[in-house]
Amino acid sequence: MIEAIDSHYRWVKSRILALNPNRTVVGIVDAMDWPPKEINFESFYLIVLGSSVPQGMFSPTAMGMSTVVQWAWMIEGDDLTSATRGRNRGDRYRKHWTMLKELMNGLYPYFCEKKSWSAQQDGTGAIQLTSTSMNPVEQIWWSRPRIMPSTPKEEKSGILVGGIQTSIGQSTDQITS
Amino acid sequence: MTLSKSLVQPYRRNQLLLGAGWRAFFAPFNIAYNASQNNTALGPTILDLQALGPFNTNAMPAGWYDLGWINSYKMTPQSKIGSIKSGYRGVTRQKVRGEVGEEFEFKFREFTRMAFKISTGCEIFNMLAVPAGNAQSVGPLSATGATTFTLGVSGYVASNQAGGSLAPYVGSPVLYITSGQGASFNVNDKIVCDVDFIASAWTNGGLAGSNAIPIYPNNAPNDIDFIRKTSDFVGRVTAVVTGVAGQDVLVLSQPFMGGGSSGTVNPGPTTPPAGSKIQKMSGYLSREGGTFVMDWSALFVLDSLDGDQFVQYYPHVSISQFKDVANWSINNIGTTDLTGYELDATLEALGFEDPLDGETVVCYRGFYPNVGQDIAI
Repeated sequence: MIEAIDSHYRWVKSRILALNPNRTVVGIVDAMDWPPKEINFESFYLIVLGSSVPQGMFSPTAMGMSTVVQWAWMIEGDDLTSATRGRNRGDRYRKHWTMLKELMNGLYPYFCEKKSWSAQQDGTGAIQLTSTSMNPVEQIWWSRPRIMPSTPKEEKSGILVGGIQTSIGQSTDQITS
Repeated sequence: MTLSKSLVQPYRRNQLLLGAGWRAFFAPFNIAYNASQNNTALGPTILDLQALGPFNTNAMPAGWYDLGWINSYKMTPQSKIGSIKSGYRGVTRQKVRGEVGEEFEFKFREFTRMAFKISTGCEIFNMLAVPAGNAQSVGPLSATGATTFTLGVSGYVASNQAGGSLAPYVGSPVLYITSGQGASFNVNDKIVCDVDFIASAWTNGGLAGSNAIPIYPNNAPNDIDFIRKTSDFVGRVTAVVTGVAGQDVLVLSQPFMGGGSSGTVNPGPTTPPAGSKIQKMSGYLSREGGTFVMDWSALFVLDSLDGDQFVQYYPHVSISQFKDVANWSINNIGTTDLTGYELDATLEALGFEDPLDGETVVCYRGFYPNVGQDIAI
């Protein structure tokens, strides 16, 4: 089941980086761990919110599962340098829309192959990710994006918080006994 | 103890058919040829489901046109299976097939000329560019069209392969016209290309042009532009190139589509014949009423996430009803809500005698399983 979240994350991340190799896609966090203590501004996070079993796709053996996730990012803007005063950090708007465009492109085509991901150290100590297809091959899909507005709390802080929610659909692993 | 399957309902995940909806493709039906035949297999655009499927919807077989984004496809089987009852208390002894039929309905999200034609089932009239000041009050379509331009000796090429000044347009459809006439065209001009209509040749009536427009005896329209007014060979100019092999060239955004009717050859022509002329046009319209009914061959394709493909091929379809220019709501954030408008069409599948065994059918439903999918059960 976690393979669906991992596969969605890897798919979207690879498409974001193909469009903008300089973008940072930090990782997957549970909703309880958001926001993290140390924030990477202008970077994408994937927050896992919660799951449910959709009506019409329940079987005790293997059921459908819908997991709501939210791609999030924070922008503080950088038009002002230290010890200067100005009206606002006007480039937050432009950076936000750039990231929004990258993510919308990343979400296409709203489905991908479900794979099992594992991390292993190679001979140099670097972490290598490897993926294994399901047998038989399976797909996951996700819903149309819901673009989240910034909340007043974030607006007063001067931080622009961007977010897109989507629901990842999958068939769970089969339970045979 | 292993739990009973009826309690836990196991299922194979790759046997679920999950997709993003149907895609519609239409192909011409040779109306004039079919009208003179007893064989219903002559007229449809025949699709070899064994050799050509599964279909690459980005590169369909020749003659099949993508109708764009459609929505709410629904088929309504109308075949009847009767019961033969006999004996004490009239129990059913046998089931037999009676009427054969099927209707289907869908909505065109993209508002195009071809969508307009299919959903209304009418001949579509191209509104030719009329000279300024020549508006008349005889009828909505009675005005004589503007200047005609002559097709060049190189005619129409569906996919340009020429280099030189046409090198930037390799792969694009191009229309050669007489040298010097290119100056009369601008980018984004809409044009139609087809032959003159000679009324005197139609005193006995018949089916005229590649769209088989009915002409009634002793009542042929006295309008030399009549075939061009009803032609499917329309396009938008994206570039004008002069001085190519002693001709000028109009580069088009899309190849010519439609047509397909001929009383003498099957399949019929789907490109403008020799001797065609070009006129500019401003738009198109349908007329609710009249006697003309459009016929087509149709294919609907559904691809699943797992790589299966489910297709429905109708060799012969015709209009049942033009239902509506329907609304679809677009919920906006803000005070102004936009509304989408889509053409709603209901069509009926007509009979087709399968040349394989002579059986009368109306639809072929094919399934191409994905790699690794079980097919026995």
